[in-house]
Amino acid sequence: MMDEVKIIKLKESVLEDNNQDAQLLRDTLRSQGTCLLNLMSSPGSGKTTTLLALNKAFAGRLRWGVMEADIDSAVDANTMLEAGVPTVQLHTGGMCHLDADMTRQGIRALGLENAELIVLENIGNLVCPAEFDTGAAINMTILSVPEGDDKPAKYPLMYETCDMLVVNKIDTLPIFNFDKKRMEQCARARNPEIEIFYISAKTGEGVQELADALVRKVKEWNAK
Amino acid sequence: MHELGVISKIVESCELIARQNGASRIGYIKLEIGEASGVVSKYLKTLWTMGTNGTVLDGADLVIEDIRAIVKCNDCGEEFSLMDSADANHDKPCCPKCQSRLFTLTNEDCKKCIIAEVGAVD
Repeated sequence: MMDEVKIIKLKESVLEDNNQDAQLLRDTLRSQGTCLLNLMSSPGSGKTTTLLALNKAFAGRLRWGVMEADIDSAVDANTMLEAGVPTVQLHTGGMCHLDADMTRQGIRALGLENAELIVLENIGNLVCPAEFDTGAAINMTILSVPEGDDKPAKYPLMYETCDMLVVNKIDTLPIFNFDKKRMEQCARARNPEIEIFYISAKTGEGVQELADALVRKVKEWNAK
Repeated sequence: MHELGVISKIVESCELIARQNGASRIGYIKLEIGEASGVVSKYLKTLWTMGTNGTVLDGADLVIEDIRAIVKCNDCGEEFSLMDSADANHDKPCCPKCQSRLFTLTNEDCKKCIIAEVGAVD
């Protein structure tokens, strides 16, 4: 005789519990006056170099720290520590993204009291990090000029998810066929509210404007 | 890319569902996988046995329904399949009618991976 099968109709989103956990983390951080920024991009777009440039441009206006998430190594964390930024290295051990609970553990490990801003430098990957809410108040992505203007068309979710888009390595614009207008059109089609900044972390062009905007956003978030 | 992680979340949910329904195992499970969810059905199927081994889902029949990603052209209003267009245009999807690359998703479900139904066995 066959076992009796009870059919249970659900409509349960598999990642729903992470979404709820992320909201919980966001609320906790808000009550502590800490703004979490989730920084995403492909590998090599200049996330760490941009953070170093921002550190200079913040000029001590923010009490901040960084969580470097990588599959392995501590190269990025060492770079940030040498610049005097409190940093913790997170290893995902092969995982392609961070979720809210891993982020919470990272914040605990960073142990930075009264931090106004914590930057999570996510795994270099344009796909998976966009699918997992980390509990961040601000989602930011970097697109470097050599990667091409078609990234928003190819990785739509990343651009839908992000509040801020930083176009880096603009000093290389003369060498690449990078159509700013086409890139902006595609990014805005995915997310009409997206704020776009053009910088070169190497030469410093545009970095001050980005730093000022971030300082303003962080203070706004923490005042709420 | 993170299909194994998705499977382990499914296992967690099913362990809970089984407990709540006094079931000892799950006989079958129906998933709805959106084409824009980032979950690749093929990889999920490949990893399924390994990921469910020794859990309430061990040996369960896996039924997958793919949820198509349908987009609407911002310029001419044409509705078309995002993946078909990506395949036809070397991964640069565009409107088949006016070639615009500006379009909007029409169904949010295609971004999700959903447990639609499970059959719990006493």
